[in-house]
Amino acid sequence: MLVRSRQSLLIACLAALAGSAAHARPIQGADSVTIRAEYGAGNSREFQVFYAPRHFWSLGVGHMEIETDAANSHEVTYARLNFLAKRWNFEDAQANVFVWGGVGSAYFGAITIRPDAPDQPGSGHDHGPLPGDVAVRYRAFREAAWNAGGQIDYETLRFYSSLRTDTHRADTFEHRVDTLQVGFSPYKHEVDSLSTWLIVSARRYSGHALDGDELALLLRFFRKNAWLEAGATTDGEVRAMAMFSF
Amino acid sequence: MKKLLSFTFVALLANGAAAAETIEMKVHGMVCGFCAQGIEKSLRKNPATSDVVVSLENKLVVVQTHDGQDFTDAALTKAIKDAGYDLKEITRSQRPIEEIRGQVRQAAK
Repeated sequence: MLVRSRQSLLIACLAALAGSAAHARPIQGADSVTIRAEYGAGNSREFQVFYAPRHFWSLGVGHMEIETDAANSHEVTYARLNFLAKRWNFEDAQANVFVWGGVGSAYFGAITIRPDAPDQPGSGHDHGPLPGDVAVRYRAFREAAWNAGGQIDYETLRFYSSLRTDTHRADTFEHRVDTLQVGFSPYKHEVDSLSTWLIVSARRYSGHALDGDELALLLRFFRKNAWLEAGATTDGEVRAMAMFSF
Repeated sequence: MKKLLSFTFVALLANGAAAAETIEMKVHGMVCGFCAQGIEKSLRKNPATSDVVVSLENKLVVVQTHDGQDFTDAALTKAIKDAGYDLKEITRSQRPIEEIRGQVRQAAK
């Protein structure tokens, strides 16, 4: 039961990590620093810093925290390398193929499960009734993990689409998130003007404990080097993201 | 008299070459204002650059040089390529860059 609980926590944490990074391109421009912060799904926070020496690769670090309930929080710290494998520059459009990979350290705080704690079907927290009438406390632990993924995107001044996949693995879990995004802008924008987008995001989780689909509607705004995005899933979970590039 | 005319001609040529130049470039792939920030950054790294205008709608990048300074075609091509885009056409003129900036802003309204 202990192993299963740990797996569930690991998968939940890394799934959220993968999902939160599925909005923008992993490289913004040559000699640029991109700072990104996200509040997602009601219980996660993430902060990333990437530096791109050239327009086709970037290297950075990230830190993420997830709260499964008021008593438990989990953190992931990671380093990642992003690479632009192929770019097509058309007269009115651009298409890209990105790949990335990295390593990280997942930290899980001590967990206390009360005998009367209800199961949460679908969340992986389906440990069932505990023996006896005393709470069980698991020790905190840390585990190395690695991730790999890729993205194909195509966009014009009025249309955006991307297909992205992320796979996360460690000794005790394997998980994958696939995300399809399609977006429309009601008007064409210039570099100095505000750009507005309506994005539909469809996501499929597969792997050990988290299986299922998710649909979200997002409003995206950017102007010059500032990017703001907010929306909600069909389950009513809020997503928000801010990004700045220098 | 002949020497004086030759000197005057050379002086006029030299004066013309020293004037600020406006370079208009057709660039493919510019569809995102957030991502296209890198083009301006790449061009401003060249000391010859005094001003830059980018228009996504017109696929246009405009550079104005400082007086007496030049921005070669090879350097322009490298700057655009380093930003991740494709340079398709270069046109040089004395057209004021502020006039182009005004037209771009007007069209965006």
